[in-house]
Amino acid sequence: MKRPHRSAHRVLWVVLAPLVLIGLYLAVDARPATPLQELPATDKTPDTLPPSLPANSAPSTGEQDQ
Amino acid sequence: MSHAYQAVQWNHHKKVYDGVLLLCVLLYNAAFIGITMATHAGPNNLAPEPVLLIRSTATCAFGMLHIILCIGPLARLSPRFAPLLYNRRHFGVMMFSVALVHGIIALIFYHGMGDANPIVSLFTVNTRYDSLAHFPFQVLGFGALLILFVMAATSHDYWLKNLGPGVWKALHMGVYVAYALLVMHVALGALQSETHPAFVALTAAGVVLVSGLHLVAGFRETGFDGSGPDHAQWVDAGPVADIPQDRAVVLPVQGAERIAIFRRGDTLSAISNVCAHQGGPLGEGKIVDDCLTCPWHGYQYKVECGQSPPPFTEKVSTYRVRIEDGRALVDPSPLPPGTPVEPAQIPSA
Repeated sequence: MKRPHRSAHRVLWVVLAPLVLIGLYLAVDARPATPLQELPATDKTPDTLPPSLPANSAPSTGEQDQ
Repeated sequence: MSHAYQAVQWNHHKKVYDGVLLLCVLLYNAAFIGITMATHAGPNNLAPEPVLLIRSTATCAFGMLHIILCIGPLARLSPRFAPLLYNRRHFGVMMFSVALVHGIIALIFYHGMGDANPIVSLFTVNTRYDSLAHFPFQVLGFGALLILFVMAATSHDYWLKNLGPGVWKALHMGVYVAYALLVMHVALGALQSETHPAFVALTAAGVVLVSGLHLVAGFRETGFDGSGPDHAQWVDAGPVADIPQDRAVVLPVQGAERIAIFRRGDTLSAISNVCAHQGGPLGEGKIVDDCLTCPWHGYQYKVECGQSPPPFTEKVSTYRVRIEDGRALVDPSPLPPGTPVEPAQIPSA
């Protein structure tokens, strides 16, 4: 690689690495105490479904894994 | 190489490589689905088949991306890994294909069974951008897939030639942005429902491994650049005896590109360390069939003139070199690419 690309590469990772790690930490930290699939079946009403599951999706599997 | 455009430059080696890679991908997905079905038997435990396929392709593509991102810095840290660079683009396109299968199945399964256009549904069904726990993580995956599509579509040497190595390299650094988006896609998606600590640990280990390798390799490269002498009329490259036959020593020069000083027989020649193809480190290559061969993709040059052998047209800068008291001295001012330079004769002992 040419010298400018080496520098750009290094600067990019100096910025990106802590950002990704912080983002990962915050995302894990924000998880609900009781995951959806561990709730009793009777609690799985539409109100408790995560909004990230689309309204026009296939029948819910009780998870938001994609 | 460059003398004529070919639609796909596949050789036997690459066909075997692609075949083995495809087989590994198919085996991984089959094993993932098979093991999940065997260990989660029962109507209440097992997710529907499309969900299993979404998960298997997701983990497959994410794992492949980690391997791809580790190859570059590993090759910088040890030449033993340089051969992995040869087919890295094929690996990347295969990874994109697996990610595309994941994206399409997920889009159809979660957004394709209603009245709304699936793409519109993807962006409109959840707009909780203010909540980490309910963040629309699918949008992040979609963004990453778009970046990977651009990279896969421009991965061919045709685009490298037309865009130029600088622009092409800058464009393909987008993979790092795609990687960051995908880590957050996983963290805000799968990791919100999969609470086993192993999943978090595995994801974090992947991030630490990839970013750690890039940072270590990056700082080592910068340190090497900074260790070179100032730009002067003649720069000392060290004892001639330290240069192995048919190989080179690499000389960093402050504020300039690195120079590779090759020994061929009883002569020394100096050329730019940067390959005209993708910027590969020519000084880590060796002379094969009278031509210096780049360790990354096999591009070749005559060391005395910096030109690729006919019919190829690549050229790199050359440098004047002389020998004094058993030491190699190089004029660090680059001559125009392809300029023939008389090699320095090594005095017989």
